[in-house]
Amino acid sequence: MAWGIKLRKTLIRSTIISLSILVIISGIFSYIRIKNTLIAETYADIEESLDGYIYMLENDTQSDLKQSCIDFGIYTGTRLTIIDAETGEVLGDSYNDIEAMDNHLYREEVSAAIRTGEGSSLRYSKTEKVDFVYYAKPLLYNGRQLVIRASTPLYTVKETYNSITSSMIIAILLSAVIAFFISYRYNRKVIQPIESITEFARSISKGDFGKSVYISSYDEVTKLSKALNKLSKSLKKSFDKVSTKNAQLEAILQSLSQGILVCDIEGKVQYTNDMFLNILKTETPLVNKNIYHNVFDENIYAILEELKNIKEDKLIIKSNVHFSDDTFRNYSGCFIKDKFDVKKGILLVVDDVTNIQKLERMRSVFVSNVTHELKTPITCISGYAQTLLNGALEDKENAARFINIINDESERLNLLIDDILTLSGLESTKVHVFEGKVDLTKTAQDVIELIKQKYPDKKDVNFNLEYDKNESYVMSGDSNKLKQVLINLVDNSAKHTESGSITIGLNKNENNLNLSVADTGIGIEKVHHSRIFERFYRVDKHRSRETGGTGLGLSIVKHIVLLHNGKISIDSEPGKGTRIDISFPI
Amino acid sequence: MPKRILMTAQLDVIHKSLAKMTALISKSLNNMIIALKEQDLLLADEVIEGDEQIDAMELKIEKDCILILARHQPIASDLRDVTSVFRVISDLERIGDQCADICEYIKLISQEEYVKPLVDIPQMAIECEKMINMAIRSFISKDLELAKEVLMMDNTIDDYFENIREELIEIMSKKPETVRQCTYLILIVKYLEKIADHATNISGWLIYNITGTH
Repeated sequence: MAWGIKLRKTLIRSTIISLSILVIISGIFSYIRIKNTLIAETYADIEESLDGYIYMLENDTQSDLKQSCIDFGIYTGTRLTIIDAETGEVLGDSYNDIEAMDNHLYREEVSAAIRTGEGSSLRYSKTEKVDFVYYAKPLLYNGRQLVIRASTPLYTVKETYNSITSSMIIAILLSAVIAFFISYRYNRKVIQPIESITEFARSISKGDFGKSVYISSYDEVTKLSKALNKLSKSLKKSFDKVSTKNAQLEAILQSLSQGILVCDIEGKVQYTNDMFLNILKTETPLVNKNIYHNVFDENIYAILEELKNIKEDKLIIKSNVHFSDDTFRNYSGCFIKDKFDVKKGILLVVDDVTNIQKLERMRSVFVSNVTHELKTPITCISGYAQTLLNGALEDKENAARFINIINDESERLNLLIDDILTLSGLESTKVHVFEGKVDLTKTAQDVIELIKQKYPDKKDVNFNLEYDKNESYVMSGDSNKLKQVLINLVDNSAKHTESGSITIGLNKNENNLNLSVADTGIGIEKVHHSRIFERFYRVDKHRSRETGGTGLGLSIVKHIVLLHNGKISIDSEPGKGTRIDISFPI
Repeated sequence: MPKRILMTAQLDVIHKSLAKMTALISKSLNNMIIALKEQDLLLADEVIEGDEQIDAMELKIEKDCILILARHQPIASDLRDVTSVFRVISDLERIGDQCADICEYIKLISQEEYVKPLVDIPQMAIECEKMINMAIRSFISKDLELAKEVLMMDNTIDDYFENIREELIEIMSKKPETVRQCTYLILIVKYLEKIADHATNISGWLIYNITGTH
């Protein structure tokens, strides 16, 4: 990790710098100390030699100054110089040739010796490239005022300086090694654990919960890692809880029969369930899109606008909105608020209430139909009865006709009530397994005979029964009810077929027993097909009442077929005929 | 460019108003279809009255567009965006008018039984409604593919128009007493066909908006 490297670098650098400063400071201090001691010692040394030489000169006034200076200088290892205190001329030197030497009168130590009787100095000698210490004292020799100077180069000081410098360099190098070592240890003990903890924290933030990190390091770091492990575990726990809840919620929302939409006040969609898209007939998912850009539904807009303008909590409802494809929807919308009562968005619920609306309509239509259908014969009966009461009874011929009509009408009334009762009986019966066996071939033959007798004047119509003689068409069912199915269908066909044929077809396959009734009659327009099985639905309102139908026949057929777990369908074309197909499962 | 951000926000408001206008038209079409199917006088009246709302919406959007032009002097695609909104709202407004006109005819024949059960005309109207929705959706979301789909749908509407027209002419020639109703029905179908043309225009504006060519 970048910051790890950086930390390590900083660590190494600061260790090296601080150690180096320490080494340099201690080096400088010890150098100064040693130098001062050495210089003091050297002064003492050369003073001793000087004193010795002066003592010798005082006792032996006859010797040659120049020679004794050289001799004594070599003997003591100290450079001795004899200078004339008045002229500054060098009279003797144990080291250099006196002829080449310049005037020494104004040398610091010489002038100090003349003035105070003693002088010393420390100077760098350009010729020898080393520091020299000088010590000078005046001497009256044979009446001549001389200054005797002793000096020695500070080679030892230079050596000490060099050795201290080199050991300091070694110490600094050593400190670098120590710094590396410390940083290595520190790296292993602190940086690496911190790095792995960082990596761990990063993985948590990415949503990878439940993992643990194990660190053995300093207490603080271990504590941190333990705290993080705990955090990770509790995060995983709560995250699991939340995701389970989410999954439950999602399942609940998706299984609702209502469409749910959650969006913000500007219409940006946050959630929809599939039902919402289904009901609104949009294929594209709306999440993260703006509802205003994708769904042009005035009702939704109206709810959003209304919610925008109100302050208080309110459920806004638009019910039974009628759509051109004959569907009905209920819309409702309200605010979603969090526990601090802050508006977090808008919840829209759309409910497809087409079926409820259809049932509602069917019921009211049914009631009005029943009343109408019952009313017609009753009006007729009461009308003729009144006519009879008002004197028509005397008119034998008409009276008989009227009474016949009354009889017919009451017969129709009876039929109608029977049908209604049958139908309501069928509706309240549940699908169940029938115990009895019905031979459809025989039933069909019976029905054909029955219808032939009912319509003796239909000479031009051929009644056929088509089936495979090798097969048996026996199914479990209610024989009376199945017979009713065939009677109603064949009767319908007979009513609407002037000439041609009516065919009952039977066939069988692995799963189904199929029954069909086909005629070559007037046929039915396609628009009526979907509603033909509804109660009291009439294709041609005038015609069918003339032929004495109740409008319930096909509805009864459908209910009986459903009771036997079967399916029914119609195929018809005006002018060509009608075919009803029924299939029962075996 | 804060100025452009401001303008984009205002364009967004315009798009939203456009959606609202479309929703109103969708509602009008929807109610018109129901009124036609169920011969519902009240619903037809509702559509005719609702046209005022659509006209008001057009004026509002027009004003907003002019404000954008005046304040921000949009250039290039933004300019095309604003100008095509101008065209689109006038198309939408025409659709609204035609809806109202259809409802006038529905009212005229609402008291008589239809010469035949109406199946194709409502279906054609539903297709028109779908087309408008798609056209505006493509316009707002700048979806070129969807716009091309709308252009294709216009052919279906034309087929509907031709078939229904021929069928009605046949009915008229057989039963002269139905001429009045059939004529009105033909007018209604013609209006529907015009509505589809407007939807096609809207998609055309989108194509202009994106490509810069007609």
